[in-house]
Amino acid sequence: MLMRCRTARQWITRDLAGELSLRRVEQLGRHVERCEGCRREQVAYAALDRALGLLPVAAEMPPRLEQDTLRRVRLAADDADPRPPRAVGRWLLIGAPALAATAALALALYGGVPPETAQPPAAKPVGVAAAKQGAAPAQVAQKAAPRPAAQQPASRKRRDVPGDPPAELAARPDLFVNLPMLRNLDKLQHFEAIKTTTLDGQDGDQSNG
Amino acid sequence: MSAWLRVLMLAASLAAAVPAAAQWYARDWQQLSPEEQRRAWDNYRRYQQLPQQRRDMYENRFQRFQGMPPQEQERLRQNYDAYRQQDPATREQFNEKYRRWKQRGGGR
Repeated sequence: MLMRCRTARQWITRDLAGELSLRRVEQLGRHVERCEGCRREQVAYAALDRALGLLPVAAEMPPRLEQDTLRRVRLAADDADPRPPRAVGRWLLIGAPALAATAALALALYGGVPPETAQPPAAKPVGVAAAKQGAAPAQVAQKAAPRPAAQQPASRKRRDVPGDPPAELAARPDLFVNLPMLRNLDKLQHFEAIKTTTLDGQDGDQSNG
Repeated sequence: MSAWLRVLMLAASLAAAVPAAAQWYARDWQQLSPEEQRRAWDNYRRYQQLPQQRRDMYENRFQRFQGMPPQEQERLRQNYDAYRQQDPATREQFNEKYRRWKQRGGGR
């Protein structure tokens, strides 16, 4: 019997969560082989899922790299300033007040907020409405992409945290902070049992859990 | 009933109430560190692209997590740290074990 695309798409999301039985995984595989739309859907969801699940909890810099970098910065600073201390002192007398005045002027102009962090995406993203109407993730991603983002460097796109977050995010920020962990909740609850599960046996042995 | 016994009972009931209160504690956006805000924002944008069914799944899991005792929440956080610190090959093997474990009826 042919599977309907609607069922297939429900199964795709369950499959990604590891919640689909082997028999259904095989059925889904047969459907996806024949149906290009569902295949695209599966690829898009899988990519999104990977992005969510593999997002690091925090950017960690190895201590050695950090120390090396700091040491190099200090050495570079020493090399770049061959003038005697007296000359430095004279520069400080003139330069420091000028620098302070410039900083004060910049603060007055920008109100203490760097222009790149003052992004206001307070309006509900297009993605919400589009996703509720059952649009495919690829289409949603296109619609949800803010226009100026394409003109921005990649490093800035990730850093733009709104000062005034959307209501859904502001209401339950912990949900979104912990999303990668929630994605793996089942695995984490039975972590030890899964670790001790054998892969080679065909006899259906299960150590515990 | 002696005064000491009453004090002990009061202390015991307070000790029992503290974890129950803690598991319902939810932070505001402003209470998040800048790094947490950035992560939440990134995840929020990805979440917006998920189908409704998948969002409901996260919603249910979040409620389940919030309803857990703090010790259990802490255990899961520690397991998550261990999970994400695995190298890609070990993680892939772990995921394969999870699939096998699930197919054998694990977690039911």
